[in-house]
Amino acid sequence: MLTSSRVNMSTLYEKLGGAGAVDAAVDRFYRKVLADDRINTYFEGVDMEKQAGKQKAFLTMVFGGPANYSGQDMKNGHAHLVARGLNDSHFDAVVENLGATLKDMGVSNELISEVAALAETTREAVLGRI
Amino acid sequence: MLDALIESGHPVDHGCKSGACQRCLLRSTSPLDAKSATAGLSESLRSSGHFLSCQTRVEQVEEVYFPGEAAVPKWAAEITLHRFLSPSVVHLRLRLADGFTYRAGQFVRVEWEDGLQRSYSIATPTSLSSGEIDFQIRLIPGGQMSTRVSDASIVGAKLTVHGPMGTCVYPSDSAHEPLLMVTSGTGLAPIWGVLNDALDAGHPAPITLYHGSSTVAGLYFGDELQALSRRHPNFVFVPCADAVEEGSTCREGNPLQLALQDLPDLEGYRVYSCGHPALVKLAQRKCYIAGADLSRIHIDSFEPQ
Repeated sequence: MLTSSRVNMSTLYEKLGGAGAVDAAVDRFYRKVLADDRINTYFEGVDMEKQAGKQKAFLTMVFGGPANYSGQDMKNGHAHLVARGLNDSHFDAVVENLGATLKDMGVSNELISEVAALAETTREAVLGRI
Repeated sequence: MLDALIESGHPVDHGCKSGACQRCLLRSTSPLDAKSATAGLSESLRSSGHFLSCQTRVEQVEEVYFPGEAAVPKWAAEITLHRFLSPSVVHLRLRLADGFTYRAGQFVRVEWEDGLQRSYSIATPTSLSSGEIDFQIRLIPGGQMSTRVSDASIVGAKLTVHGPMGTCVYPSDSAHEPLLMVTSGTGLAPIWGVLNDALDAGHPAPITLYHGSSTVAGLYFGDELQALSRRHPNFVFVPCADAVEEGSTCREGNPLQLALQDLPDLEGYRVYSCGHPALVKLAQRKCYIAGADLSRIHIDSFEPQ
């Protein structure tokens, strides 16, 4: 993990390890999601390499990194899943897998909480409630 | 994009509408970013702005040209051999015009004189590049192409071959990883070529092939594969069928299921899975979950044509 010389100024993204951390996390996270029967049906039938790219973008965002899409994008992107019954329990399962991924990678509970909090800010948009 | 063009009165040649056959190729003024729009295309096609119109949304492209003759190379070809490998699998050999090159595991699109087109995998090992390629074609009862292809008198027929296309190949810079091949029916065709490429290159690591079918009678090339495994101790061949009689040398079960039972940890493996779309997509998913890198899982899904 990178550390900034002015520790109290380094961002969450830097503390986690930036783009390198995202790369290390993507496969671990995506595999957990695909193996999780509570949510894996929502990932069926989609091109896997395309999906892996989306996971990478999601992780970049919740790691506090640069994010290129809006709440509206999140809402539109998940609308067809919401129509199929996507709800809070599924969102919770994803956040759980995210936490487990970070724990596997040795990330501190404090940083995991910060990442979970960032993920939480997308709940309303993902579930189409904004 | 494909549907939009067709609906607005611009007929665009197409086939599978699943991103596999490459018939709906169009060209944009600049290369597209979206990986799904160019998946499976050669570097030269990609960099010249070509994309699969069935996998691209209208908003993703600004200007479109219809491709010129040079986009996917075309070759004159003639059928030189026809034989049955089993009651439901035909072996066709084609001789191609000078200059045609390919890598085993790629596929081509064959166009008959009356316009009928189908894509077939090249079953010939790369080292046998003698200007001839082989197909292993499954016969579908009542199928238009199947009726034509079951007839031995097609030897001598003149065809146009477009291609080659596809990335289901043995890498020339192979890292000699263990290889896992999971296939059913004529999905064996591209894998036969890749397998021979690997063995010809002296691939040192274990190679395991699971070839499945609903019945033992649906399998073919069993003798050839057994012969290869006798000559190469690192190659293990596992024929399997959904229903197997007592005393059979085939294992009972689905090739993917048996593969994952025997090899639950696929970290470091290179995986090949070709054939029926349901098997191939499930294989990609399950082999990835079992630890194989997504970039080292080669699939060729035989979409209905």
